[in-house]
Amino acid sequence: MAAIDSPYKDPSKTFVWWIEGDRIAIATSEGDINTTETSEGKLKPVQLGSGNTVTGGLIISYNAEPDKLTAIDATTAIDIENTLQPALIDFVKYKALIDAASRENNPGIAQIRMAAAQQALASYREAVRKFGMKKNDKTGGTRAIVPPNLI
Amino acid sequence: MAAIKFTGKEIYSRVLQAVPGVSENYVLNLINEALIDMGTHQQKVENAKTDLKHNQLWYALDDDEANVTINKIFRCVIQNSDGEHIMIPRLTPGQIKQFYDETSADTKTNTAWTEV
Repeated sequence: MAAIDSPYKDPSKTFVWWIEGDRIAIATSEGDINTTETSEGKLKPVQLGSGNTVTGGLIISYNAEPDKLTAIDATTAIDIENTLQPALIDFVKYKALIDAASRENNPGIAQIRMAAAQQALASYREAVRKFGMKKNDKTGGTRAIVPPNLI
Repeated sequence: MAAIKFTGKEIYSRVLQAVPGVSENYVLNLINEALIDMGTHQQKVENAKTDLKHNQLWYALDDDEANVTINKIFRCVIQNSDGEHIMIPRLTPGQIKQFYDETSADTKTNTAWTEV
C-alpha cells in the first residue's frame, strides 16, 4: 500500500458524501474503472490505483458526544459545556430520587421524593431549553444538495 | 483563569444531599446516562481525519470507533492536489447507479479516525 499525493484539483466539483446508518460514503465522478456503469462522470468509490491511499485525505467535522466518565474523583471534570453542568446535576438527582422513591416503604417519604424528583426534572428541562439547542438525531438535518447523476 | 467546572466528586456530594447513602458507582452510571442524553445537544464540535483509500466507498462511524465519538457530521472535506482541504457537497438521497465494491460496507472493519 503506497501513500500518494491527492490527484484531485477541485474535489468540490466531483466528490459527494452521504450518511447511511453508521457509516459515511465518499463517492467521486473522477477516474475510470472501465465498466459500463462506473466510467468517467459516474459516481463511484475513489479510484487511486490498487493499494494506494491519500494520507489524511478525508476530514469530517461533527458534533461530538461527551467523553464517558470513568471514575468519580476530585480531579476529572465532566466533559460537557459548563453552562450545562448544573442541568446534569438536576438530571442525576432526578433519576436518583425516582429510584429512591420506588425503594421507599414509607408512602409519605416516597411522595416527597417524587415531588423533589419532579422539581429536579423541571429544572433540568428548563436549563436545557435555555441552552437553546434542539436535540440532534444522527442522520437528519439540512444539507447542501447535489442531485444524483441519473444518466 | 480556569472556567468553573464540576468534577464527579462534587456532583456525587450534591446527590448525597438529596439521596443519602447512594453508591459512587450508581451515581457514576447516572452521570454517564446524563452525558448520553446531553450529548444529543450541539455543544462540542470536533474534527477527525482518515486516509482516503482506493476503491473504498464506506467509512465506519459507529460508536465503537476508536478516538472519535461522532454524533452528527455536518461537514466533509477532501484533500486536493495542492494539499488544501476542499469542502464537498452532501448527496441526497444518497443513491448512485452502481455500488462497485460493497466489501468496504462491512463496518466491522473499523476506520482509523484521528482527531485533529
